[in-house]
Amino acid sequence: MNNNFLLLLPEFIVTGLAFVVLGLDLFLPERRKWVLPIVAVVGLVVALVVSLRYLWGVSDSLYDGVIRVDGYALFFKAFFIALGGVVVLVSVDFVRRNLEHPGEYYGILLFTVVAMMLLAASGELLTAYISLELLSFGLYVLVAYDRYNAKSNEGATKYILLGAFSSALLLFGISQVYGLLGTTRFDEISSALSSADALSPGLILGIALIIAGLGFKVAAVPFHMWAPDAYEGAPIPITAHLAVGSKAAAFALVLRLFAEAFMPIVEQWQILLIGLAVITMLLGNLVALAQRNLKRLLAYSSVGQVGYLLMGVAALAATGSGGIMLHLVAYAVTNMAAFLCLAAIYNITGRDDIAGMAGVARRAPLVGLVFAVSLFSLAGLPIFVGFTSKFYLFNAAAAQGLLWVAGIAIFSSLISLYYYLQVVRQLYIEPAEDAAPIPVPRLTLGVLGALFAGMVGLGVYPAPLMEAVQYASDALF
Amino acid sequence: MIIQTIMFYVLAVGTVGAGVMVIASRNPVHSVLFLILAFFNSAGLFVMMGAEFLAMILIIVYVGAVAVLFLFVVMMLDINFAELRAGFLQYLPIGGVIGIILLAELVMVFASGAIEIEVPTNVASPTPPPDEVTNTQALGDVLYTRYAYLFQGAGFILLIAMVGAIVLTHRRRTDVRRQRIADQVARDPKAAVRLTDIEPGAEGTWKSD
Amino acid sequence: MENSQLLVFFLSSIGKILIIVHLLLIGVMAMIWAERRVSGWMQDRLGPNRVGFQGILQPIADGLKFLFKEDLIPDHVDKPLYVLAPAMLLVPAMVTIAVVPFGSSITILGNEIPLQIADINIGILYVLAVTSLGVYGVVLGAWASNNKYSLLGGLRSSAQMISYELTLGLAIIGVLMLTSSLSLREIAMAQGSYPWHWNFLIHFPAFLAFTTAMFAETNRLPFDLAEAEQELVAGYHTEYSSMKFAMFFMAEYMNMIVGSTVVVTLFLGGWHFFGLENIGGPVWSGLISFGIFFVKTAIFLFVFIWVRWTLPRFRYDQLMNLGWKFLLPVALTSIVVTGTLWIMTNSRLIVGIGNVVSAFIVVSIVAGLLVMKTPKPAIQDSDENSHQPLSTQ
Repeated sequence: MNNNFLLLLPEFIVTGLAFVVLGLDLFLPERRKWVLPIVAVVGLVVALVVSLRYLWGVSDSLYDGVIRVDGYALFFKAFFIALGGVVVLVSVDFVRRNLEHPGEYYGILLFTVVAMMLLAASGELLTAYISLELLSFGLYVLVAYDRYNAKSNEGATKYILLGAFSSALLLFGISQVYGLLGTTRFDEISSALSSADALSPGLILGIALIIAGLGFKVAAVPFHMWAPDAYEGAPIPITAHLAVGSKAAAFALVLRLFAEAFMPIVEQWQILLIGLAVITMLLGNLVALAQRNLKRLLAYSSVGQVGYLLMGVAALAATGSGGIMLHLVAYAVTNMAAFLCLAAIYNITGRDDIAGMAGVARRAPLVGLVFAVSLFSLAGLPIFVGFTSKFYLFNAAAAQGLLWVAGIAIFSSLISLYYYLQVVRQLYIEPAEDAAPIPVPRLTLGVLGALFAGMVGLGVYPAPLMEAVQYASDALF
Repeated sequence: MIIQTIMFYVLAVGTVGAGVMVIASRNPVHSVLFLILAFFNSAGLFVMMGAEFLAMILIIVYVGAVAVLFLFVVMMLDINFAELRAGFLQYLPIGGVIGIILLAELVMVFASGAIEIEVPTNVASPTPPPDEVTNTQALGDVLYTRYAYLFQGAGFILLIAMVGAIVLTHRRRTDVRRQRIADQVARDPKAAVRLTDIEPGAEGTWKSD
Repeated sequence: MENSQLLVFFLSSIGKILIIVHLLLIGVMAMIWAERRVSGWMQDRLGPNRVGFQGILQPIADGLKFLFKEDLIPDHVDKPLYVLAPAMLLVPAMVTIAVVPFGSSITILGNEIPLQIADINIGILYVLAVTSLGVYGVVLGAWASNNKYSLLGGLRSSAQMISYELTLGLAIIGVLMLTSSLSLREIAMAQGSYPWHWNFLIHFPAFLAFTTAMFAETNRLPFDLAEAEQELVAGYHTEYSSMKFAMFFMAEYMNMIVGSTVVVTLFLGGWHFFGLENIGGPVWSGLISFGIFFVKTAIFLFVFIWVRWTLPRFRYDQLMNLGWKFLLPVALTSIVVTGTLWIMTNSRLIVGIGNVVSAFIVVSIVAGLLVMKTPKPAIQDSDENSHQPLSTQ
């Protein structure tokens, strides 16, 4: 076994960066802590450059196939590093105003980025499990980080308890699969499954338990109970990280798992995923109608988005992973923009309920504009990236013959438009309680501008993204 | 062989029985003790399978450290457990229904076909024969090569858990006095000793503590 | 195995068990006598010298007294656990000796009998596992007594055990790496005949850390916070009397003896001493090696008593600081340094020097950080309140 450890260079860099940040924090006096996010972002940029420079076109594996280095992993690696950078940038102002112990905050954040990168690269069930736990543990801590806020504690408690429960389900499922197939590697599972003449019930149970465990992690509907509370309680940048990063990472695993390991028995799990997808998108969007808190609303809307993504996974056999990955990127850019706007507003007004958004468009025109655009994009209106990706996703489902599911998806998109418009109405039409302009730091404006450009640019001209997704998707099949 | 069979059943029954008692006993300290008993019996089962390394690690880590912490916490807790259990029965109907559904599903799944219990033949990396390699070495051989990432990853998880636990509970107390050895060492007679002339018989010149 | 070999194995094992268990019990009595006499000597007084020659029968008199006292079980205790606790402490102390090799081997009638009850290939893990059980005796006795002083003693003991067990486990890893075996017999055999081959020189910091942690595990002064009589009456065994108390008492001494044998095996060359263990025929060499082992253990036990009357008890925060901030880093460093240097140079000498140097560096760094990083008190000292007691966290 010859391991070329250079293939793990991005992971090494980000891990080292996490240690550097934790270590620097020890020696920096309180007033110099602003250095930490800069170090983190610079390090992430280096990691991004390195991974694109050295891993492009590489298709290899480490540790006997336990960790895979291919186009798919590279795509998600780059995606997660970029995402981590954005979360750090989003955090700068928020952490300075609202949280203590910035060093540990950024350090743990970087560890979650490593975990997400490894999750996309894992080619084996236990590796995936360890990476998932690494991610979850980091998020448990980060959700509770606003420690003097009772809601943060409550959300974190629920998240930890249900997270531990879901890990147990996942592990039990993995042990069933290992016990009956004798392997945990995806490719070997696949060959064992295709050579087996009849599926043993224990195996079906195992796969169902794995789906349930992962369902918890992505907050699909019967397993979504933790999401609204954790989203509401967490510091806003972490809510964004939770909604975007952890979800994308879990889907990165789900895609590889189903495409590489469980593909031979696609008929067995497809119907299960379709069922999950349908109730997830319907329930997520319907419950979102009743929300008064914007973080909870975005939480339920992201539950709805998980429904669309699950539909894409169900259609994996025929159309590949392209649509899902496209939607993940679109959803990430859009949601990140929405949460950054919310954070910018919350930092000044201390409000995160829908009524608190009244008149924001006049108090901070640019924030209002980006917020509105991001909500439209989430709803899937044309010229924004949300439309493009939803179009491809629904198209893929229809091509697979799941026309009725696509119909339900479009219907629930319409529902979502209603509550997104409610927010936009507050932003633009309702009069402000306090007309004083909201000062927005330049850094926030810069990030907002970039995300805005991303939402519109990728919506109008998605070709480069499509190519990247195609390149990544090719590695999977 | 007969001795081994008997031992297996003794240990297996012990494990399950102790496991049941963990949730059944009324006193949480007794629960922890039954948990320890369950660990012990499972360690015995490990030894019977020839996995003596795992057995000892189970005892060192779980019995020697984790369960002691449990006991430590449970002994310190000031919770009226009878009160905590007061509302227990009102959840029985819904809990019972869910339990029965799950049980029915499991029975259906397992009844619909035989479970293969023989060791699968397509094992990727078979374990080395126990009489050639001690299982400590066998574990070390894969743990630090093929599964090095799992080992490191588990380490990172523990690191995060530790950092998180400290960061979420740490607060700098300003109302305690700490011993500062450097200051004590640096103290000289001028700062420490005060000479006072006291008039014989006079009161009030010496402050008592 | 042939039937005759099986028979020999069976009989010799029973013989060894009987001899060792009795030696252990006699050793406990001898230790009780020795401790009292040595204490007397150190404090310039006599100690017990009435019962038998030089008071040598004093422990037997004490034991008889314990036996004939009324076996009190207070009303308010958790009865099953109260009765179980002394046994939970005594039994682990006793069974640990099973894997300790107390000599090379004796050949009788062509059958080679190793002087060890059971040579299992994970011997040292067995020692760690079984010694880690001892804490339950203390904690359960403390909790079952239903007495706040007992409970405080139990809590202190459990915190202390957890803190020091880590060091205990980590300190031996360097030894295991160089021996590449977990069997105590192989570890003892891997150390040569001469003191400069023994592990305590190669792993000097680990040796000190292990010994310190072992003192803590046996709840001996300066680590006897669990029974600190000035603060907690008698700590965890406040409510115990007669034979149950005697069992606690015996377990403490038995732990000391077993701990000493483990240290001798791991670090002090086992039964080796300047080639003396090879003198004589197949029987005599075995007996001599046993004698060497016995003497080494006895010397180490003397150190136990010596330390007891030399060092005062730690304060609780000092205990935690010592365990977590000094011993643990030293033990961890010794693992890294031993592994690295051994791979790089393959020389025991360099490993030994590297260990000492690195431990020195680590201790200096920690001590420096401790002195610099201790926060200034918010309450300013002034002459008026400088006599308030130091409150500690």
